[in-house]
Amino acid sequence: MTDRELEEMLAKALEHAAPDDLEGVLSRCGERRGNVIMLEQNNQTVNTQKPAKRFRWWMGLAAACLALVLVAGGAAGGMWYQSNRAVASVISLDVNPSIELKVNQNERVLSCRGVNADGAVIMAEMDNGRDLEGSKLDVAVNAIVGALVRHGYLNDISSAILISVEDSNADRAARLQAQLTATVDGVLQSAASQAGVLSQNLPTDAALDAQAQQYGVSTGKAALVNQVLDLNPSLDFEELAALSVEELRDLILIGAPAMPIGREAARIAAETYAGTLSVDCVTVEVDPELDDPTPHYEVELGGHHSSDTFDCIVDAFTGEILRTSGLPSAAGGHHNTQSPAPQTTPAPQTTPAPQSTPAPQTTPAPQTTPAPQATPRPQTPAVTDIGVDAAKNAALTHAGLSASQVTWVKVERDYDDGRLEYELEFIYNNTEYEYTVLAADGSILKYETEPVRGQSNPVPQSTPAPQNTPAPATQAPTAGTGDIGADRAKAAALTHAGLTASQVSRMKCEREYEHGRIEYEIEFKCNGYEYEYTIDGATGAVLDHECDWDD
Amino acid sequence: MLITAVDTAEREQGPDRELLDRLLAAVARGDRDALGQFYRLTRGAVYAMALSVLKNSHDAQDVAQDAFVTVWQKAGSYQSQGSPMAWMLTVTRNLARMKLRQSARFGELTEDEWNALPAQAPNVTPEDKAVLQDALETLSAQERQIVLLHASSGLKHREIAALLELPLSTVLSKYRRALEKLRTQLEGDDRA
Repeated sequence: MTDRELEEMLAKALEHAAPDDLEGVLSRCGERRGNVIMLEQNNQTVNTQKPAKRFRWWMGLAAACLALVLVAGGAAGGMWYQSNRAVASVISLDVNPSIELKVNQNERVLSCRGVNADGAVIMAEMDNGRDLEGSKLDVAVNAIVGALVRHGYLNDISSAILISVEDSNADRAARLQAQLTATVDGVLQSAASQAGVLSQNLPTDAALDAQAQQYGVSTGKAALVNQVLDLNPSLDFEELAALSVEELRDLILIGAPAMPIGREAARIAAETYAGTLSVDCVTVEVDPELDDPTPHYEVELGGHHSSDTFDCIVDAFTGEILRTSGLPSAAGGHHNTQSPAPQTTPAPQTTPAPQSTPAPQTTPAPQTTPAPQATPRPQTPAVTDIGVDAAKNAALTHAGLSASQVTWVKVERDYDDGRLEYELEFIYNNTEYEYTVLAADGSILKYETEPVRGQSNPVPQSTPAPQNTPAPATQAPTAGTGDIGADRAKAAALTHAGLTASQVSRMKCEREYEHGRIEYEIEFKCNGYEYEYTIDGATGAVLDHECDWDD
Repeated sequence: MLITAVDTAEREQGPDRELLDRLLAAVARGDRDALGQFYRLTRGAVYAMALSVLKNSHDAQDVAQDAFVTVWQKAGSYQSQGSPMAWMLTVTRNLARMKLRQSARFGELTEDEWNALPAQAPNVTPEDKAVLQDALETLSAQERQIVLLHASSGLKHREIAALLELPLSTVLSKYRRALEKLRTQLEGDDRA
C-alpha cells in the first residue's frame, strides 16, 4: 500500500466519521456577535462602526491649524502637511513594554515613545525614539521587535506581542495590520522566537484614547483590557493594565474567572516558600501559564551555581504553592516553615477520577490540605522538571560542546508520550543538533544531527563524539555507540538492494540516535522506486528497509 | 536535506485554497450557502483536528459544530494569508483546547479511552473503522495528529508544523514513522 493510498483511506474514513449536520450549524448561525481574540490568528477587528467622519474633521482641523503656522502657508502647505506631518495611524506594540508609534499616510514614523517604564527602556536604545523618526514603519517595527527580543521579552514560547493599529480608515488599518503582523512574524522567526502574535485594528476612539492615557497604557492594551472586563466586569482596569499581553490574552481565553496575582506576587510567594530571601537566591524567570488547566505562574529561582535551580508552581489566583522541583540545597532548611506545598502531582497520565467534581479545578485534585510536614522536599514523583538550563546543559554535555559554541534554534518543553520532555535544537559548525531530553532527570531520549540546510556534507563527520556523557546517567548511549560512518552505512544499504552508487539518485543519509543506538536512515531512488533503509550505526546491519513505487 | 525529501512527498490534496478564500469572503458577507459549501469541504479536516486534540468523538463533534458557528461569526475578521484551511484549523484547535479545559481533562485520556467513532455513523464502513482504530491504537498522540491532518486537510508539512508549533523536522520524521506503523498494522489486519 502506498503512502497516497494510505492517506486516501484515512481521509475517507474521517470524511465518513465526521459529523454531517449542516442544518445544526446553520440553526446556530443567526446574528454575528462577540469579539474574541483567536490566538495566532492575528486578526481581531474591534467595532468598526465608530465615526470615521469625526476623524476626518479632526485631521482637517489639524491640517488647517498647522497650515497657518507654516511659513509657506496656503493650500499647498496644507496638503504637504496632510501627507507628511499629519498623523494617519497610531500603532502600538505591547508585550510588557508598551511602545507607541505615530505614522503619516506615507507610513513614515512621525514620533515614537515608550508608553510605560519598560517601553521607555527599550526606546532609550534608540535615542528615545528619535532614531526612528522619518523611517518607514516596517523598518521601525523591525528594530523595536528586535530590541524586545534582545531584552528577553519574547523568548518564552508562551509570550505574546500585541500589535494594534488605530486608524479611521478601515482599509488602511487592515492593510497595516496584516503588513505589521508579517513583519513581526518575520523578526520572531529569524530570532527563533516562538512568541505568539496578536493583532487588532481599532477605529479612532477618543474615549479609549483618554482611558489609555489616564492609566498610562497604549490604546491597544486598553482595548485588550476592556475585553477582559467585558468577560468579568468585577475586575479592575488598573490592575489588569499592569498585566502583560500574555497574561491578558490567556485571561480572555479562560473567560477571566478572577484577577491573577501577577508576576511580582508569584515571585514573592515562591521566594518566601523557598526561604531564599535569606539564601541569596534570585528569581531567574516568572512565566505565567494562565491558560493551563491549572492556571499558574512558574517561577524559576537560581542560586550562585547554575545547578541550584528551583522551579515553583504558584497558583495564579490564590498564590498557593502547588508544586516544586529542584530545591536549592541551601534553602532546604528554610522553605518548609513558610508555605508548605500540598503533595500535588498533577499526574497527567492517570484518568481523572470522579466526573462529578465541578469544572474549575482541572488536574486531578491536589490534596488541597496544605499538609505542613517536616520532610524538607515535597515529593513530585511524576512531574519533576530539571528546568530548561539543566536540559540544555545535558544536551550540550552529550554533544561535547559548550554553550558559547552553539546557536540555539529551538528550546521547547513538551508533554509527549506521557512524560515531560525538552525538545532542543542548536547549530554548531553547520550541523544542526536535535535533542529530546527527559525533563525529569535530564536523560537523553533521542538525538539527531543533520547538516544545516544547504550544506553539502550529508553526515557531519566532525560531530563531536557523544561518548563523554557524565550528566545523564540513565539512558546514555553505552552499548552500540560504535559508528561505521555514513559511507559504510550507504554501502550496506546499496549492497542489500543489489545496486551500486552510480545506479541510484537522490541519495540521502541521516544519522540518528534512536533505540539506544546510532542508526542511519538512508533513502535513494532507482528506476522509479524509492528505497528506504535503517542501518545499525555500530554494525552496519540492515534493521529495516522498504522499497516503494515512487509516486 | 529532509526538506527536499518531503517536498517530493507533498502533493495537492484537500480543498482548493482560492475557493476556500472566496467562500470565506462570501460567509463574511452573510452568505449561508457559502458556509454550507465551506462546511462540506472542510468538515473532515475540522473533525480530524478536534478529534486529535480531544480524543473523543462526541466532544469532537461538538467542537466541530462550534468551529463552523465561529467561522460564521468571525469570517469578517479573516484576512487571507494564503491558507484558509490553516486558519480554520487554528480556530478549531483553540476551541478544542477550551473544551478540554472546561471538561477538566487536558489530554489525559488513556489510550483505552480513545474513541474515534461516533456511536451512530451510518457512513462508516468496516474499512474506515479499521483504519481509524488502527490509527488510534498504534500511533502516538503527535503522530496521530500529524497524519490525520495531512490526510484530511491538504496542508503541507510545513503548514502543519506551524499549526502544531513543532519543528518541521519533527513533523517529517513523525509523519514518516506514523505511516510506516500504520501500514504495518493494516497489513497485519489484512493477514489476520
